[in-house]
Amino acid sequence: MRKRLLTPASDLFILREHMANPNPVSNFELMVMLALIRLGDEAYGVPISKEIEEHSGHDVALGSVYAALERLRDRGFVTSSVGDPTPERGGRAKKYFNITGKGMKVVQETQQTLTRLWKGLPKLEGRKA
Amino acid sequence: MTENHPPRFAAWLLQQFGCSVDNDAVLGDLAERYREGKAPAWYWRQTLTAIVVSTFEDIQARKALALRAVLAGCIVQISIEVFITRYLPLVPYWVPLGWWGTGFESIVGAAIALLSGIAVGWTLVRLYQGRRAILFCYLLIVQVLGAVMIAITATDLAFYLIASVSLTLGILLGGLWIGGIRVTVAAGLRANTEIPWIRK
Repeated sequence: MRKRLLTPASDLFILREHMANPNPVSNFELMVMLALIRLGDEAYGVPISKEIEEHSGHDVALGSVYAALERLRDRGFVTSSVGDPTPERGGRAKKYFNITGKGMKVVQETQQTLTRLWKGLPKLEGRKA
Repeated sequence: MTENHPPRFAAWLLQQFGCSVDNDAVLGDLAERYREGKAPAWYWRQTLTAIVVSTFEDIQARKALALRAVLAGCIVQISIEVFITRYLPLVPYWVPLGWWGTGFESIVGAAIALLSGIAVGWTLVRLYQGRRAILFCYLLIVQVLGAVMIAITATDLAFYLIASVSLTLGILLGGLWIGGIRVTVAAGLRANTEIPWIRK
């Protein structure tokens, strides 16, 4: 069988789009951003981690959530604001996070890329991204 | 204080060694979830993960600075060891002869390792913009190198372990000192934080 050296046209399209987007996000960062969109103005560490746990079925480390949020904030995908301290938190303030327009665009682009990649895979036929 | 207060030592560790800029929010979130009924083991696991993850992120974001601090720490440690190697053989002349060979040399070795560790820890954090993530990075390097040296030179394991634990403690103490442990304690008291050995 002849070995194919060239990248297929569909892969080239995805590669071009990937290169055009210098800020790809990791799987976990994408989950955090989707949780932020779902939670709206009430997004801080606890509900974000619960949202991810609920949908992934796995325990989530709060330290990892904050590390992802810090990276996303550094890249301008997320903004943060400090709330009021509460007694049940040992007098510590909540930190609320919101997704920016830039972050929203990255989520939409990632969704489109994943949907295209999902299409035409016989092994995953019948499943959706 | 309520009965379902999070494990104090774990909270203190995260407060001292957590490197995230959102460390205070992490502590607050952990306290909130713990009060919802999470187990102490969960809290400990979350705390240690938060320290490891924030340390890794911190070092990754400041690789050049970390390398400079680690090299400086190595220079300080090697300088002290060279000095000790030169003058330690004189110690038996300064103490009663009967003390030597009764374990006294282990105490001397441990004390020297502790002091040397304090100097190294102080240098590391000082050169790493007052951040403590560098301490774990350095400790990891030192422990790996130490294990390799032990395997190669077949040094007395008990003596090595005593010196290694003392050095580790010294590095952590030196690092905490430069970060201002007293300032942290005072801030902790103001923020209604439980610190293991201080009762309000």
